[in-house]
Amino acid sequence: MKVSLFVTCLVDQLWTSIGVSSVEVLRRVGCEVEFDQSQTCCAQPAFNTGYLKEARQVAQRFIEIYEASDAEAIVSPSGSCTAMVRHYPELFADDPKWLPRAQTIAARTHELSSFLIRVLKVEDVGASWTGKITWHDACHGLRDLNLKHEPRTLIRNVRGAEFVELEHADACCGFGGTFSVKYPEISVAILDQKIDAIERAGVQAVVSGDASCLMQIGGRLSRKGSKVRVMHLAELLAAGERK
Amino acid sequence: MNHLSSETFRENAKAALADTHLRGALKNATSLFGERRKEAAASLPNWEALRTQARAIKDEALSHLDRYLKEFVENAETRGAKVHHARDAAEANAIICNLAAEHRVRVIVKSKSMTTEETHLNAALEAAGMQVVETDLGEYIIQLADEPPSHIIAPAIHKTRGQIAELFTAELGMPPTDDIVQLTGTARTTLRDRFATADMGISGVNFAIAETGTIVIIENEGNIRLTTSLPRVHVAVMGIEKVIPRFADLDVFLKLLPRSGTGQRLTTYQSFITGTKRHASDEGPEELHVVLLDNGRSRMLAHPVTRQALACIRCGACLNACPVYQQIGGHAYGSVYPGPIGAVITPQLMGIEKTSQLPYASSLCGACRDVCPVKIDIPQLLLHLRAEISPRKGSIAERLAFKLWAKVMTRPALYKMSSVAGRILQRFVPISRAWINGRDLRPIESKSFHELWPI
Amino acid sequence: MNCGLFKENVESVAGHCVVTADVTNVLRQIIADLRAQRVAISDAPELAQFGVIPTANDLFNFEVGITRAQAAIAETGTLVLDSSCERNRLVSVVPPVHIAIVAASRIYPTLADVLAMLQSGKEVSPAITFITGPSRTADIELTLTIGVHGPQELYVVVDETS
Repeated sequence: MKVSLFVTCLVDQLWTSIGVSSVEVLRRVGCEVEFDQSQTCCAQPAFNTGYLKEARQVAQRFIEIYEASDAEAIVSPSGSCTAMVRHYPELFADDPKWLPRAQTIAARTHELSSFLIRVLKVEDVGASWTGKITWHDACHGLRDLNLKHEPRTLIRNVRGAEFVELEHADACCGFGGTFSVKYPEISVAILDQKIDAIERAGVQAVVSGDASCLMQIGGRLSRKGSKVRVMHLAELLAAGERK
Repeated sequence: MNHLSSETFRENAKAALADTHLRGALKNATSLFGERRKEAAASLPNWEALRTQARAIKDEALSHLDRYLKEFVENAETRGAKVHHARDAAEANAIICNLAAEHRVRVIVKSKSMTTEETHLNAALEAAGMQVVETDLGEYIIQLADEPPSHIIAPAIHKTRGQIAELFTAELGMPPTDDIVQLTGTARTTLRDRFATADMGISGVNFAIAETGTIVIIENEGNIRLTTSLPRVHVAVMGIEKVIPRFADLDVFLKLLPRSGTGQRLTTYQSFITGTKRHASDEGPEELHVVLLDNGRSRMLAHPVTRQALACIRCGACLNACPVYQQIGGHAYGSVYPGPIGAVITPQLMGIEKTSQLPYASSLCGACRDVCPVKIDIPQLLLHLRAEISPRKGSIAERLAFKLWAKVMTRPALYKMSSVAGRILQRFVPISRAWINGRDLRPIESKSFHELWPI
Repeated sequence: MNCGLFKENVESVAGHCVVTADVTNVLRQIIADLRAQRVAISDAPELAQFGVIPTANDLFNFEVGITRAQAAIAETGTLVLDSSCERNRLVSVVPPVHIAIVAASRIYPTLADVLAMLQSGKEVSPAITFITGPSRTADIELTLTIGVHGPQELYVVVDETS
């Protein structure tokens, strides 16, 4: 199957290994991966901050880029970006020209773990990683895309990884986009509940499906001198390919 | 009373975060409330169907509110109630003060009503020379402490038992103890005499039934029963959105509200009051006055997105589930209604002038939407409000930043240039202090994914 | 049978429940066990032997209030008091102990059933009260305390014979 990667602006600028790992995993399960160099952002920052005019401009660009692709699916290593694209019909609800185009693109766009499990029906990507590991449910992936057992299934099939369920795995990490810098004190207070739970879990790594959550959690763990690593699901799944 | 203002929300939040007593109390309260709600919801296998049904009833009521209100008023008045329409808080307070004056009222007992908190009724009554006694234990505590409520259903939940004990000792001369049974006993003893001698009882309303003209009020303590049956005049204050079409509709709401609020299958008492007594010699008040408050609600009705916030049945579940509320509590919001529902209705009831921070004080996690018994999509409402506020009230810098952002994001060449610029600038420009204060920041990659491709 | 479920649910909310064919003796026993001297009653004629009908103000000096309940709900352990049928509104809330007698045949399975009954073929009574257990609060640290403004104890006597 041919897929077109939407790597997301955050991964593109701040965490390229998530993009590289995503490509690795998709190829391993037999996909041909295309990357359109003109891609930028899904428009989430503007949409969430209330700048709909600017959000629509960037969303239209996204739609145009992927309409030009003949790939069967657009795949993204981000629950929140995928959820944003699923919101495109709402953004263009009053625009008869753009609404059907938004609906088509929204239906073609998938978050990585959802794509593997629900579309490709693949549960084991042949990964191995030794250590105790836990999962943080990123809010948009969990609530907008109903991702709950998909990532857990994929992680459980990583050879050598001992999966522990995190206490309050579904509690927000406190990022929330611009919320993290508009109300940083509250953001960090919420974050510290997550950090406490991670420390109590006694794991080597915490995995999530959104780079934004990983930046938030990772940023605090490293500030506190913790040995716990943060990993994106794609990075975990790309690790130690079992031959 | 020193009300915090929504205008200083961020400062309020910082102060709250530094208050260890408060944070301990909040952690205890929100986690207990959350666990109890979860268990109670799980005990009903048709919970999701009930939520859908409740929302459908509310949508029906709200889409024809003028008709159902009219039906309620007609039926209530036929049964002897007098109904008053108040366009805003000032009018509601004036109506009630006038009633008190007309009936030569000196002492008023009051049961918990968020609507009367919204209108600041107590201050108006006291200014008019009445003595108002809050009889709900939580409200009694905050009245003694001269504070506003910090939670929709448990007004004093921000206080530890030690703080309450100190308060009772200082204000009531109670011998020092922090035994909860004794604290409760002190409140009971002190208030009993007030019930017996009050001239007027003021209550809220949980549901107003259009079909029969009945008001329904639910509680655990018994103070509502006493407030609404002993004094000779009963005044019931309600927002216009409390009307539901049929008596039979109560079944759904009585299944959802106690479970969502306190985790109980049913609260101890429900009072169904329809008009006034049939015979003068019967027990109960001689007069029933129902005050219908608008105060911005019909404005909210006008828009299908904002209208759904009027479905709220004031259970408080969203507060307990909210990661922001869990950390800062209710006072920091600086508004009568805190938490997720407060962030949504306060700007709409009070106008955005002073409340514009509230819709942004959320990570949009959606936990509130999960627990709302009437399925209000609070994140959708927050985004709607942000879209109203940002283009008008956003700082010039922010508005320009997003205009620039849109230009960069729609032009691949500009985007490439900006990532090169970012790599250079990050060494010179102090990175957002807001982030760096508590968290390390990843440096911009020396090669973007665009530049790594093809791989 | 509704009785068993009803009793279980009354007890689950800290109420006492006795199912009996001999209401009179059960009432006498409860009053004796409480060592109650001042017993208030509603105007239900069969209660006359147990106490007096006080004025509203006087009620505050009584230790026990006895009333009927016009119906009950099995699924929640709830008593239904209709004040248009009986002078029970204040007697059931002011004294610290409330004893309620309900006919077994008047126990309905669900709350929805009772709502329908309250409305059927007539206008709804001016004052109806649902009672589920003794009064309580959790306003202080979310710790449950029984007995606030309403009764601290609730006794429900189910009359099997009616």
